[in-house]
Amino acid sequence: MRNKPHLGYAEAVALVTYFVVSKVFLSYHLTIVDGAATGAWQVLLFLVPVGGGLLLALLVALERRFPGLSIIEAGEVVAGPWLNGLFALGYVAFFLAVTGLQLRQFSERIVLGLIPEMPVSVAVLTFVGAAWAAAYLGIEGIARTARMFFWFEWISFAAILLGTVTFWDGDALWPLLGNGPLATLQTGAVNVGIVSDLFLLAVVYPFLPAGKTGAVGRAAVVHSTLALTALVLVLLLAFPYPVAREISLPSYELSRLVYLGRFGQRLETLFVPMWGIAALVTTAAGLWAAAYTISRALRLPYWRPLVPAVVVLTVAVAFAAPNVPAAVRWDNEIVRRLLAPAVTFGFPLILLLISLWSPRKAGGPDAGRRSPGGKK
Amino acid sequence: MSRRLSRVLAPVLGLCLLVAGCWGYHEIDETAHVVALGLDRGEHNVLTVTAQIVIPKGIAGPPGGGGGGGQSGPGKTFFTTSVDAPTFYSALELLNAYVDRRARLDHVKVIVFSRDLAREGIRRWLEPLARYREFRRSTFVMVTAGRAGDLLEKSAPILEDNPAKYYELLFLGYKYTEFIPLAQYHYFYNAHKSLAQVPVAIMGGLERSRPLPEGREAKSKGSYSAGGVPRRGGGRLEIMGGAVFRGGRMVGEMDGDEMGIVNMLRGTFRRTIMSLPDPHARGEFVVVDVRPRRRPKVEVRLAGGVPVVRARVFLEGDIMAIQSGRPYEEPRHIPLIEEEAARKLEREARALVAKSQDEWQADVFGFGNAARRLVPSWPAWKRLNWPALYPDADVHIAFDFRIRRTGLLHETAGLRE
Repeated sequence: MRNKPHLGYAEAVALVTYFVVSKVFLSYHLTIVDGAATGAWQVLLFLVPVGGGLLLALLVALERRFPGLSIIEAGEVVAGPWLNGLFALGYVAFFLAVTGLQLRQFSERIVLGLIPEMPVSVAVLTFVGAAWAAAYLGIEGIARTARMFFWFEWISFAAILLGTVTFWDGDALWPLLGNGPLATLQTGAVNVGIVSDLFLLAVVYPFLPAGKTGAVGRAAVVHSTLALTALVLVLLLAFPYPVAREISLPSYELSRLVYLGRFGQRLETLFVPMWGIAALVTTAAGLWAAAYTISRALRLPYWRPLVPAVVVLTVAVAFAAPNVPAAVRWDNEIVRRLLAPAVTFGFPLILLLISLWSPRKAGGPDAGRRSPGGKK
Repeated sequence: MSRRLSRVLAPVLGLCLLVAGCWGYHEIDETAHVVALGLDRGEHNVLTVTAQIVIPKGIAGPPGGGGGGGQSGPGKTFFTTSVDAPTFYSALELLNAYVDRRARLDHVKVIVFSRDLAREGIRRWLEPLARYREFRRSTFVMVTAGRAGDLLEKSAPILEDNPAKYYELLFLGYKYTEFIPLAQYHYFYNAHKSLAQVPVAIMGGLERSRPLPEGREAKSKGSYSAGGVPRRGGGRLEIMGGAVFRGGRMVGEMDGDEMGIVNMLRGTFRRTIMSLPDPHARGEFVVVDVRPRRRPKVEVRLAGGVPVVRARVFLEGDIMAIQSGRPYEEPRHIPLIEEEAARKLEREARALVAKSQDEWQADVFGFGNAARRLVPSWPAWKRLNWPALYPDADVHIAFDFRIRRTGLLHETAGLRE
């Protein structure tokens, strides 16, 4: 068995894009629409490329200084074990919080829209059970699954959006500036955590083709910009503001709206596999990333034994929220606004600044050899 | 993958397949599908809810075919039941006190409000529906002059066995008539929440529930109201015109012609047949088939704080009949018909604008959607307060109608006498 997984370019793009974009099936739009009203789509149009580009630039700059090392190993070289331990704790908290809260929201979505009699605990355990199996098989398997379904997801997603074209009302995008340019910028700035999931790149980049991190990140940013912006744009066209504020699950509501005549309606179940696969890939990637980060931080040679512990922690986070509005609020307003920017933008920036200030700590070609890579 | 790992993973994956979907199943023969809902002011509680529930075996028909039969007879396809309750959902639950199957709203096609309830206000009944997963936004919204319960009890389809199909086809008639509004819940709710326009529901009524027009003089086909269409035979339910709402309350009613003008200006107009008085022959008509040529163009500007609306509706059509036999199909005479049609529509539009401003104070045309372009931001749009501005707006509506074809006849040959 090979020790180190290898992700091809397309697999890596699919994996990272899934990790960033799967929130289109949840409620990321709420804070954006609340903040920018009819201009919400513009927020995403600049937030994702600018915020994503900024985070990508940080991660690529770090990778160039420490080729072959994940951010955890690079952090140890730069900041030493104690400070890096703190950083690693932040990374793990980020992955657990994001994965746990999204797991809860995906499960609640199943209960709310599809199987109302199902206890949410069963939905959570079903999702996490499948994601556990995928995480156990490793990031290579998850990435290949993501790659396999990538264009299927895109086509299904586009079908939902275009299926509602008869309901679009162009006037709904006016007044064009929403709550004003300042509100648009502010909304973008405080919600920069929406693109924080790109941080997965910093964990997987030892497994990417050499020198391809930037290209993978750029492609993921482009896909994410298109998907995240298109959803909010179509939401505003079909459910003019302020109705768009009321919608809790935009992609689900849009799919219910599709009406292509008497024989072309009630098509939402066609899109269930799309949501299920996105939820599974995202949850599995989150579980794997958390387990892998812990193993690297503790310098453990294996990450697999940590997966069950991570699953338990993730489920605990999922059930920590007493209800769906709390889970959505924690995700949108605590994790995405506070934890995610601090961990995914702040910590890499500190590491980069330290490494620039102390060039001796930059890694050389040998640095990669210190990494136990993907030992399982 | 090692054999040991497979042994661990296989049950986990198997479990995933087994546990998903076991909950929430509903046997088709244990479900009561509601296809129409009626809401009236309650007699014994706040609200009377009437549910029209399909009888699947009636739709399927006896072995050998021949289903159908409305609410009576052995092959009846639906039954209606009313129950009084404090809220809509408690009424739904109360149905289970005497209906053996669990009532579900997945297939509701229309929700009917009585005019009394609509005038009292339907916001508290209408808005909660958007939250309920069984309810779909494609459901049509209708108002009836009488009791909604009576309307549902007596509105049996004739051509269709399936009442759901009957309602859907009936309300989709907006595609080939001018007098039915596109009033799916989605559009109604969006307009209800909008500052730029007001919602319009379908007006429905039982045959001859209103006085029929008297006299043999010519009357436009759209001058009738629901329940007042002079006819014999057919199903008892008729739909014609629209109910205008403002702030969640019904404030007015439009007949079929007025609904046509609204549809044309809103951009929801698809087709109508217009009977124009012959400009040169009293008592004779030129009949034209009218369709939209392109979307209406609406411009709004502010002049000294007063909105000035300029709307232009682009229509085209074919000549279907020239009763007088005059050669209107000749290219030099075609503009006569075009101008006559435009004048008629402009006259009707002016009267309706006055009614909407003076009587209803409600922008039924959706001119406010164009007014959104006057301001840069949402706070400025709220400050502009279009609903308050509209009654004083200076509205100019022009119709641009072109005849394209003259049917299968090139000309009408004169009668040899």
